[in-house]
Amino acid sequence: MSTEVESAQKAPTPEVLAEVEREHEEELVTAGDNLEALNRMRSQFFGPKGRITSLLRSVGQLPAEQRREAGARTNQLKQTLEAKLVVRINALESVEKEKELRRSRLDLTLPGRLAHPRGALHPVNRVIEEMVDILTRMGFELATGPEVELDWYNFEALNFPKDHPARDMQDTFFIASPDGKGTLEHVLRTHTSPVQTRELERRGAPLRIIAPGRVYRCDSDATHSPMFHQIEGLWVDEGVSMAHLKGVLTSFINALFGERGVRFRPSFFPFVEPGVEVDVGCVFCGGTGCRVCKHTGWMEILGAGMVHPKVLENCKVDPERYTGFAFGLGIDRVAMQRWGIDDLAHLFRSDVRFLSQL
Amino acid sequence: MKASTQWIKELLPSLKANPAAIERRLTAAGLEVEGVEREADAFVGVVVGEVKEVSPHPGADQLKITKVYDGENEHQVVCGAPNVEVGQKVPFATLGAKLPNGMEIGRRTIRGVESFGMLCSAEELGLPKDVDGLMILKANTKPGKPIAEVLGKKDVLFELSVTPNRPDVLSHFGLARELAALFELEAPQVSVKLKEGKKAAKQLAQVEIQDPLRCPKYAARVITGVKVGPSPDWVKARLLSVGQRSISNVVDATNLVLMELGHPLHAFDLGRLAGQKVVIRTASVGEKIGLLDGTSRDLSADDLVIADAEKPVALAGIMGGANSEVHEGTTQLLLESAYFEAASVRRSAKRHGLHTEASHRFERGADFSMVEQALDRVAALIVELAGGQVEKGRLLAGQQEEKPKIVGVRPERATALIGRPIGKKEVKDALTALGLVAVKPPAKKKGTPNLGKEALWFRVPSHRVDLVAEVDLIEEVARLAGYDQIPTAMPPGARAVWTKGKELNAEQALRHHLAGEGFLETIALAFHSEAEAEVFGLELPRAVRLANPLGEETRLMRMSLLPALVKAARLNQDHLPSLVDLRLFELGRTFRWAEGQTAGLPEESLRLGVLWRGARQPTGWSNKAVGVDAYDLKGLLEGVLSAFGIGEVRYEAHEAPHLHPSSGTRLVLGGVVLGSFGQLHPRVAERLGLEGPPVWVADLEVSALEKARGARPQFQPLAKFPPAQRDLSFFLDRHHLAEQVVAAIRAASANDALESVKIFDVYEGQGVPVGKKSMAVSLVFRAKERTLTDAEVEGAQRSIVAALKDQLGAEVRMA
Repeated sequence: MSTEVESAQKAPTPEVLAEVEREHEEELVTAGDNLEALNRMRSQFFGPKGRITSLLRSVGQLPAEQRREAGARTNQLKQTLEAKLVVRINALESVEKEKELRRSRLDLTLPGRLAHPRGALHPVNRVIEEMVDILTRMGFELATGPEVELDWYNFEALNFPKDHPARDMQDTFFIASPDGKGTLEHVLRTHTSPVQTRELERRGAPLRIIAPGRVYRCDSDATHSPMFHQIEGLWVDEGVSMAHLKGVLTSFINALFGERGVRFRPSFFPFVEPGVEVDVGCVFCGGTGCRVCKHTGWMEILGAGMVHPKVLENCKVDPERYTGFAFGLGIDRVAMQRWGIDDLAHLFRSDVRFLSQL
Repeated sequence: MKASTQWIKELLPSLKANPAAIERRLTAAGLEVEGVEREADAFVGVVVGEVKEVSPHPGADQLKITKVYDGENEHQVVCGAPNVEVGQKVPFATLGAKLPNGMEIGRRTIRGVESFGMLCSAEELGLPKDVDGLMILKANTKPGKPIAEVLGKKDVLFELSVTPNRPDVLSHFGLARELAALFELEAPQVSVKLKEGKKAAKQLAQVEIQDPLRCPKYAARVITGVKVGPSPDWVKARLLSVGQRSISNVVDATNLVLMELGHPLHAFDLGRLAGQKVVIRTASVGEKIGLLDGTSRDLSADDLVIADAEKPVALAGIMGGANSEVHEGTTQLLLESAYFEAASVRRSAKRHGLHTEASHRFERGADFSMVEQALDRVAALIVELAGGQVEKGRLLAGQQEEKPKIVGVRPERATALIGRPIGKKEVKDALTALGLVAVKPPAKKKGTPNLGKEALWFRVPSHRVDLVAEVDLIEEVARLAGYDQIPTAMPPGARAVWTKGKELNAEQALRHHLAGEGFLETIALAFHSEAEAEVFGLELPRAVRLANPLGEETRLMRMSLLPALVKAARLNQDHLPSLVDLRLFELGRTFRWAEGQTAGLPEESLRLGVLWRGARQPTGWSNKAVGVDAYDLKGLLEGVLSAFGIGEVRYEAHEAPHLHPSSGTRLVLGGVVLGSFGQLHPRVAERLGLEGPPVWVADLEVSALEKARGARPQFQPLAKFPPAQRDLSFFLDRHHLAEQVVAAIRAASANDALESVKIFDVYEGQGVPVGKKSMAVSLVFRAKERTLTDAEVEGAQRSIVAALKDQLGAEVRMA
């Protein structure tokens, strides 16, 4: 305090100002990074009773001709010194604030708060969506048909004659008549193929459709479920050949499984001729042979063939003008293979421990 | 079908390919080899051992300690066989061997003496028993030689998956014939050397066909003086290798020829046939037959039978009768070889629930011209195995020759269908190799397709019942060359379609919306039990019922998605630890007949089922469990509706057997019910064994949602002027609904700029008069083209207050 009083009496001569500047420098060194000391210094020099404030005030007491110069000199010094001090204070204060923020650090190893649990699409429907995406990009249109189907569309129109052993390939659920007296000509569709005959009959050729959906067989054991899923494809137009069947199915299978090889073998389905069974290189062993593929290196993936002329005729399409191919594959097995699911029954049991992990 | 490669090669000696090559070729030609079994695999680790020393076992009189030489080393083996002697060559199962009976050979200690392997009897190797004790091999067999080689067990057996159109390969001869074509070898022939006796067979027995449509051809032979007994070992072993049990020399001969030539045969005891005759006729109602499998069957007028002068003695093409069965005392046989119509055999087999080697082949189509050859072959084999005399001549009834089947094929049609050039030569070569015979074009007549001048015509051999039309011949040509000869090409560009169906779009949108809200998608079997349908109060008279359910659980097609979801809740509740925080949904169809429907298809409705129970939000260290309530579920549904752009839905109180009366609600839009939701009725929950938090369920009809889908929203200019907000709080009778309050407010301010009404508080209890509730609303006013004045806002508010008072008796407490 005594210095303040003393200096108040001094006029801001260059010597006095140099003296103040020197003191300021010294105190700045002494205060170092002590924010409190620096704030005290700020009031000592620049506060209402501070040394520089007093010197500024004393300018008024000087003779008029000296005032301007002394005033400018003093102000100049005030700005320089105060800026130095403030820079130092601001820097320290921001460090302090930063420290303060750090002190409120959260434990973010604690689990987050969920608005809701993670939902999930059923694996079968995920595979259907993927297949539908691939096939619609190839120009197929989605179609649907009833699950309770007439014998005609499910069998007869597809060239499965009555009393023919080909019907044994598909264990059929029959529908009782509503009055409970006997059995109707209705079945639960055993495959998605009746969508072919329905749409061909309804819309005629040319036609390009796919039809995913539920199908039913009167069979239930470790590897069979009375309900499962298939997707059907049908492409009928002028000039469609087996080479086109191979082209479309190779692209489809490559898009679905990656390029691991596709094999076409003769087979038999009543509604196609020639009939084809299509294998994809085993996804488990890559074709070298393993238990899953019975050491063949191949996995049977879909059935296909050139639409039988009788099927076209049954649907009022001229088989001399139009040809086409059809294919069908089981979706559930693809889903099982994709996620390594070892038991078909998991798919339809609605066990949350199963549904939530995929 | 199980097929032996050795057997095939005996019938087609020119076939030199190894089993792996045969397997590949068969699979590539559409006769899929599903499994391969090597006979030698059953004897891995079993070698010839030479007994070097035999000494008594100190701990047991019946046991001996032997030293056995395996060609390299001597092993100590404890042996219990009475016939073991020094110098013998015996089958020696070394450590690690696995015997055909499943026994695994390990190092064992028997009564204190270590044993390193086992000496085997014939039975232990799965062979017919010869002597008691060890199987003694020839003295000159070399120790160490694998036993499979010594026993000649080198056959490779295929498990073939034969598609129903190819009955012609359901035999070793059929496979040999197919392989001859596939490997470009000369086709095999059936050759039978048969010595006939002097007596004319027709003096010993008669055959008569009464139903020529279902049995167009019947042939028989008579053998006298047979001696029925066990078959020789080679017959037993051969039958065993293809999975058949040996019965007696006569029966084994019929089975062996069936496996060889593919034609079903039957041997009757002629002495037991009344009147020494067989008649092929349909059964009369009331007739019965006892079959070889020990069952007795009531016959129908649609069953074709073989009868003697009095009674049925066989179910034609399916199974013989017990009353004419060959037995030990049989000396005279009537051998049957016939052609039965496929559909006829199939109907009978289905009706009686029978499936035999014979019916399997007849149902698929037998070979008309194999009838006589198979008959002669089996007669010769029986004489070889059981002695006796084949009497002179065949007894024949019905037509001798099948009408020839002539089919044409156009090479250019084959080219177009297959997608690679197929010329006349290829067609002719391929089909000839398969046994078809080129013929002149048939005379034009009704029924034969006009294929033009370029067509080639062929007579189809009787064994290829599957070749009836041009496209069948085209397939044969493509199949013989292999499908890998066909190029891979994309179809020519056609009109693009690129659409999904509307309903499928809706289905996909719902699926993703609910998964995004934390729900797990389920797929349940689409059936109900009666009991389930009843608990949920479903309309049973309209249920679609299965005529042949697999059990209680599959009696009805489902009428609602909810029972399966509730069952899932029960299943998950039973887990340890119990899972009661559940969010599940399913998209699937429900089925029912329309009222009084008698024709056509039942209604199928694609629906969304939702089940929600437990905590509103996953709980953790920072938040405690708050149970889901009706408003959570309603909020979820509002979200679904808003995703479809559907507004203005009415929420009407709804009575349904499965819903709690306090919250059962249905969603109605312009008179159309979109669905319903609410708490599962406690009675239903209890009956299904649910414990713990309440279960909330919702059920929406997807097509109704899709139909109600709003127009694409159009952009509205953003408001330029500030809003004015006013809150109102009032008491009103507790039975008034929020819907009424909002409607009254909106009506009262029809001409004012009321932008929104939001209820932000509802309260009953302390401070509120009994029978009343307190409600608070937040009102936002705004004009499009100017700032509203205070006076305008207050005026609007006054009319709202008045309306609430007039219409609902609401007393405003605070403005």
